[in-house]
Amino acid sequence: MKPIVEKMVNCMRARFRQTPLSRYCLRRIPKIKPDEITRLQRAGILDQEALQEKVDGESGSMFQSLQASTQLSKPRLLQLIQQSLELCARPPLLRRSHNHAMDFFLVAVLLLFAAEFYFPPERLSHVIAARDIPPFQQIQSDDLREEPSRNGEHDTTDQYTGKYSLSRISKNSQLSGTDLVAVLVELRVEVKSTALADNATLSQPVLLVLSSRQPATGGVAIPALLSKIETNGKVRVATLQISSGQQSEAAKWLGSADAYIMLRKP
Amino acid sequence: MNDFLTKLSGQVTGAMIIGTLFPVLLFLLILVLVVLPVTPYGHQYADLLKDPQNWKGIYAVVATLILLLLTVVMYQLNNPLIRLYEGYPWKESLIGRLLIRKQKRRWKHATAMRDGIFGVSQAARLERVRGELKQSLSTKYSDFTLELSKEFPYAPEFILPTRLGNVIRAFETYTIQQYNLDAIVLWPRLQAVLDTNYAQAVDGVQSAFSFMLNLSFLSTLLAFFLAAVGLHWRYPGYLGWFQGWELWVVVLLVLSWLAYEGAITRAVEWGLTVETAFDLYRLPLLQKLGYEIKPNNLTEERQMWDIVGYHLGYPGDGLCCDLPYRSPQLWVITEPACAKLSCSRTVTPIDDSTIQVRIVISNLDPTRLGVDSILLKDEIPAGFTYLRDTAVVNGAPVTLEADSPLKVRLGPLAYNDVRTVVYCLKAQPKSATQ
Repeated sequence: MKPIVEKMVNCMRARFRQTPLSRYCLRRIPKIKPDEITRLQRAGILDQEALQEKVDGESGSMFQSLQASTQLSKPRLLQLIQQSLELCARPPLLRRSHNHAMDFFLVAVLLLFAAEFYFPPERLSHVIAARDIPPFQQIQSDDLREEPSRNGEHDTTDQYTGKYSLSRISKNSQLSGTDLVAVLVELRVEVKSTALADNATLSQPVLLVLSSRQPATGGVAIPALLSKIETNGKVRVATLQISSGQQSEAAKWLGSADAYIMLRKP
Repeated sequence: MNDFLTKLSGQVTGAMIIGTLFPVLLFLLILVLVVLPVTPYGHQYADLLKDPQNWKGIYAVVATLILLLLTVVMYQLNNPLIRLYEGYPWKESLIGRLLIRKQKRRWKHATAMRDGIFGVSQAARLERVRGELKQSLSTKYSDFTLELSKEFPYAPEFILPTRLGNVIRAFETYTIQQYNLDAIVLWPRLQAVLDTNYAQAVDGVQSAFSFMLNLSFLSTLLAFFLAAVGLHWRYPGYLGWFQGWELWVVVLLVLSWLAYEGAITRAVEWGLTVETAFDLYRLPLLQKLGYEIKPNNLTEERQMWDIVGYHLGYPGDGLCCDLPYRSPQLWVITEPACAKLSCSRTVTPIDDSTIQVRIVISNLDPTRLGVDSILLKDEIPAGFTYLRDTAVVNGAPVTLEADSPLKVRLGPLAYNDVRTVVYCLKAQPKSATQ
């Protein structure tokens, strides 16, 4: 037997007084047989006072004596005593259970990946134009197509159908909320430049230019859809559709500015 | 800010640059260029990185700060990371025990092969077999012996769940096997004794090991992170397989494995330098610790380190005997070395030229440990010689191992038992002493 083992167990002997062995402790030893518990019990190992007397009286020959009375091999006897002390010591010498943190971690990682694979996230898609869409056209569902997204969008064709394009959307380009508007506002303005208006065809995208009558103040150009031109004597009134977002901008200039219509390239 | 960065970068040593900064830099590059583009976030960082025009001003300062911060964090986590890879924190878990069982099977296989080949070699030698077979047996025997000494600790109870852990354990336990010296206790002290050049060499090998280990860890981390974000934002069920990120996951896992294998190779080299450091500097260390005595042979040295290691490992523990700082008049060497014996030496004049020396040794070890063997060494005072055939132990004549200094083996000594050694010295004539 290795001297260090013997020495270790000898050192542990000092703990006997504070740490009584019990049948319960012995039962906790892994792989201990009931027969071994009985043998240790008969040998007086559970009786602390008797055991201590034996240890004191026999001057270190405790193991030979215990071995003789238990008929257990010396290594097994040492192992049993050591394990029973480790399991019953206060405070504990050893953790009573194995550390399963790594097992739990691995299971958690596997479950996480399995969950991600078998319960996939909501399908990610973006919407692209199936054909060229002119400005101010109400978008139909067949104008659009859904494609798998690579940038995390959750767009669908439904959310764009029925909206109006504010500018020309070319085929295969991705739609975004800023290009579209849900509502068009009708605006009737007296047009100063009649020549341009006479040449204009209806339902055509134009620019409504509101130019301040005070030279220093400037003006604004608003994209619009020309839908009607009415002649009332010398006055020509144009009916235009503008996006609801431009409504307030137009309102600022109406009454204080002259209105012009500029043709836009389709 | 620049001052702060300068001070911070001043703390980054050469070992830190090689061992930690480069893997962290690689980690950040792959994170920004490969992982973030898979997500809807952080694309602007990839654009910034791709355009060298941006590598200045506030971007450069922030990037340097992040790099240094991560480097310092990784450097501080180096020891826990090594322990994680060795398997200490999880060796008791189910997976840990399964892996230990696997490693023990490898150890058993290598041991059986080594012993088997040794047996065959012996038989071949008896049969006077020469040539290719003898050479082949010799090579294989060396291979298995080398595998056992470099990749496994000397005893199976020290085996850990991972190969890396066992390689490190092998050189940690080498000194126990060779000198009975606990490397873990004495390594910090030995570092103070090492020659500067040798210390730099050890640092160099260790930083190469850290580089590989950090690379392996960060690659694994990135691979799992990329797999998670890929499954979330680029779900193959919708977008199809082979989108690119899957290949990167495989590449990162392969890189991690290769780096782990590299770490094992570097650990073997590291172990070699550590073993060499103990081989060369252990005796200067003994001197630095204040001990002037020198061991005469390996057995004595093992006993000395046993005692020194015990006192350094368990300071204040009174269960082990002390090692004298200087060579004492009377020195009792025991097996086991830590046993505490009580010795008394008395000298009685018998006549004008003869004195009788009486040494009483009693085993009063506090742990009641019996002693397997005792070697008694007693210096003969100047001007005296041993009087032949006068040495007796407990009244029985005894054969000496040497007579100057007097060396006698006393055999085992049970707890509370006593040995009395008596011998006589004769004064040398004055002319002889002069």
